[in-house]
Amino acid sequence: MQPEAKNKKKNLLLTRIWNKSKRAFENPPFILSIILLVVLFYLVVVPLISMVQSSFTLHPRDALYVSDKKPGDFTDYYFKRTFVGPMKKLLFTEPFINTLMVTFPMSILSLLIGGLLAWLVVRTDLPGRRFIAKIAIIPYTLPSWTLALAWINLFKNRTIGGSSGILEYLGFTPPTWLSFGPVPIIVVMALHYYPFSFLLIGSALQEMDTRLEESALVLGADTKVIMRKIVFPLVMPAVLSSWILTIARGIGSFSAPAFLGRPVNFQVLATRLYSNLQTGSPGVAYLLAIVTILLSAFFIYLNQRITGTRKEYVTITGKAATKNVVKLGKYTSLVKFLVYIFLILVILVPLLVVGIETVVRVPGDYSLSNFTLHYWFGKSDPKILAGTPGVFRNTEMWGALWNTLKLGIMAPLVCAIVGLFIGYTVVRLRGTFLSKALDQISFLPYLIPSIAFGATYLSLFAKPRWFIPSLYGTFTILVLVTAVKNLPFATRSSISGIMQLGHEIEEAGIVAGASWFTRMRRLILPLQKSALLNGILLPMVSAMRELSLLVILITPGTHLLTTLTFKYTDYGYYSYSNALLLINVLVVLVSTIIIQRITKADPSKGLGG
Amino acid sequence: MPDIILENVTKRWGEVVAVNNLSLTIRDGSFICLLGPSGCGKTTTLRMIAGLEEPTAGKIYIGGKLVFSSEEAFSVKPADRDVGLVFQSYALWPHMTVFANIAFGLEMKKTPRSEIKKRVEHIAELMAIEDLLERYPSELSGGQQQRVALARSLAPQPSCLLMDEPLSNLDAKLRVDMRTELKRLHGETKQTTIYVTHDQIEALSLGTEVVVMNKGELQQIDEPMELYRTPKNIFVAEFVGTPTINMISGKIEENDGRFGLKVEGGLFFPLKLLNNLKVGQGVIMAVRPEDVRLVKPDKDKPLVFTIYSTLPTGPDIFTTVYNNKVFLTVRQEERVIYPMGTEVGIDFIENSLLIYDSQTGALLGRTSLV
Repeated sequence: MQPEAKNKKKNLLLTRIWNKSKRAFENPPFILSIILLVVLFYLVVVPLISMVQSSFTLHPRDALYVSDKKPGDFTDYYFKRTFVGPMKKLLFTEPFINTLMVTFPMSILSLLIGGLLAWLVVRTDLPGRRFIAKIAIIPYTLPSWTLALAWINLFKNRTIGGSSGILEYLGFTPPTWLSFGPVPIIVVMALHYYPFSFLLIGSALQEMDTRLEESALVLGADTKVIMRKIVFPLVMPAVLSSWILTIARGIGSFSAPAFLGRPVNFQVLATRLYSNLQTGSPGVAYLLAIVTILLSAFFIYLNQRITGTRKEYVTITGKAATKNVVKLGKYTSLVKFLVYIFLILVILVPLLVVGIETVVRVPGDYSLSNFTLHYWFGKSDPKILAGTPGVFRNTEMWGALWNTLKLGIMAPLVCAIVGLFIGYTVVRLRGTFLSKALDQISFLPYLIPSIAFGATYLSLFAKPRWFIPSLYGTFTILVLVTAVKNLPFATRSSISGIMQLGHEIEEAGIVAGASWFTRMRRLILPLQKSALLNGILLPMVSAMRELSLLVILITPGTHLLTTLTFKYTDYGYYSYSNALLLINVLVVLVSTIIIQRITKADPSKGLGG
Repeated sequence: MPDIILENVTKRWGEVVAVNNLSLTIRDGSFICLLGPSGCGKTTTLRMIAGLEEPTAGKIYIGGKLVFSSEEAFSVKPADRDVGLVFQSYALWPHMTVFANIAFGLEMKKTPRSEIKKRVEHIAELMAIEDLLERYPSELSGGQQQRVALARSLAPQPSCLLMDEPLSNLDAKLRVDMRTELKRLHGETKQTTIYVTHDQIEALSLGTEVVVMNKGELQQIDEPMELYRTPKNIFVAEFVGTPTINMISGKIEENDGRFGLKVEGGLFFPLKLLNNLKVGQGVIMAVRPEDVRLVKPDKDKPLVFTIYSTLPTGPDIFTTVYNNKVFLTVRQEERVIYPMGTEVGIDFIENSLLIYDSQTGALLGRTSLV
């Protein structure tokens, strides 16, 4: 009797295990989540670990300095060199202070510009608000060094060597602090980042429930009181949030300091990181990358704490009611004039200045007799720029253009598809550990500044590991790093898409007997088609103007328009880099227009409408 | 044949018990309504039968076949349980025409194309949607979408139809129309149906039997009118019926040799003796508004109430009266609207007073005023 009962119990256990595992494998979200988790772990977490590890591992080149250890051993040499030793000031303290010194004023300036424009467009009767809203976000779609190059063309002076800028040619010699260093960096970055505050604050103003204001109006408050006591406190979270996020972005910013800081040896963390990689000190570079990650993650965390706890503050109804508008009255023409002057100065003038620079034979001489199209179409001439032919005859440019387009399509494609599956599994397994883990891990790249993220990939893929070959120098790594960096956005939008779709749409298919593949193919994918298309098209633009993420992963074979521009700027071939920039701008603007036509997506939609 | 049997089914989400030890037999051809407030576990029960949710414990049989057993971790896939499911949101596939929506289940069963066409057209005719087959769901009204959802789940001829609050998204008039349709459909087909609703009127008017649930526990299972007349406990009494049943709590006492209910604050209802009541026992007396009568105030009877407010609804006049802290809602017999403050006497229809234990909430018996 006893052994029989025991046997029965054992059989039951086996049946349970058999049935459970059978069903686990019949449950695609479960399997999918495990696969995705493994892949993401390798593409997000492992690079981070690898970078930390590399910064404490002795590099063969430095083995001379650390006598008692072999290359590959654990060492605190880099840590001490960066944070303790005599090099500390140069490697860490100065760049750290400079980063903050640039970032804070920049974030406030961009908040002021963005907030003021948002208010003018949404809350006043300024004529042409719709048009202004559309134009005002252009600086953000352009490569971030457009303004930096234009600034150089305009303000550069001979004190740091090389040719003179347009202003100096016209008889005004700008002081060096205006040509290079923190001041131009702050201005240029603020002018690049302000559309971010503009959109955030603008939509907060736009989506505010007008009934809240009407209640105050009925109770006898005038427009000024309503603005001060109702509108301003309600948009405060959006203001704060855009400010903090701008700081987070500023901390990892590479291109403006690279173009405008390095010529006068003004270094921020990102540029110091880059130069340490160039000079073969990856250990120090990785430590600086870790510092930028921690700094930027701190600010993003801060933002989530603030917006998270005050979320209920923002009352969004999506009701498109008429707003309580401030009448500009007699100031209308003045305000209109100032706004247009501003937009012309930040969009049209820079592009014009960049254009002029490409048609000037001897840099610094802007007379008509010096006009040339050599830098565009000219054959190789050993007397000009060491025989580099005009951009359109330069095979390197065509290669870079092709690579830029290829990257612009492939990275978002990979990103959107992976993002869709992550979103799907996160929603379907909601409440489980797997879902939370996937959700968190796919969000992680958002916390990491681009240049630091690039550095993690360099540290991981510089040499082959296990069965994974060294991807450094391949085009694949560019696609991978761009796709993973954009994953947080793709995942977020896919999560909300699948949530909106609801589970019942798929459950109806389950009850009808459709297999998982049939459900995906016939029910889920067709319904996510437009979201997927948006998910592919919208990041295209950002992929085509990406520099800081890719600059340290580029090799001569995989140049992009952006990195090529940077390379020629480094050579001091400004005519050339300006021409490349213009091509890049053209590519970006044309694709933006095409994409907006296809997706009908317009980030400024609704503002001032 | 397709009896559905739930054996000690429990569903837990972590600490929360959604369904607790539920045992239920649903006979072939019946129309069962699962009724209860939101969060009572009725939808979870339905989804467990469909196979979309896995019970934490228990067994489920459909048509004599085991489809779920927690002990063996055994579970039959939803598609192989031979059930149809109508969702609250309808969950019509918006990118497919009505025809494609209805045909989908048959397609999955590898039904030949000519057969699919025939069946879809037949079911469309039955549901009176034959003119809508080429349209997309977004081009249909709510009522039409509802019919399509029903047609879609009926097309593969499931042995049991499960419906999750299918009418809750319709406006009031359409809802009544659809109830009529559903009742007729069930009368014609004798399709075994499990119908989840939080609307007690819907449950009473549709079900051959009604299952009342609360906090994951089965409260009562009975035919609709029996459920209404004899609620087994206070929860059912209060949940079923509009306006809500009147409740008066007090103690059983003997007053001048007369047995009755003593309300704190003075009011005394003399009652016919019930054997299982003890003096001093705390009870709740419940009475339906239609079982209360307003009468002329009588000096001999101390049950004098005052008119609190009067709500005419058209066919009925509901009047609330009060004495001290005791309020009663009355469905008036006579079509008179009394001014506020009028004094009235009250009486109860013979054998209409339900006595519940105030501790356990269980029904103790039925009695009348003396």
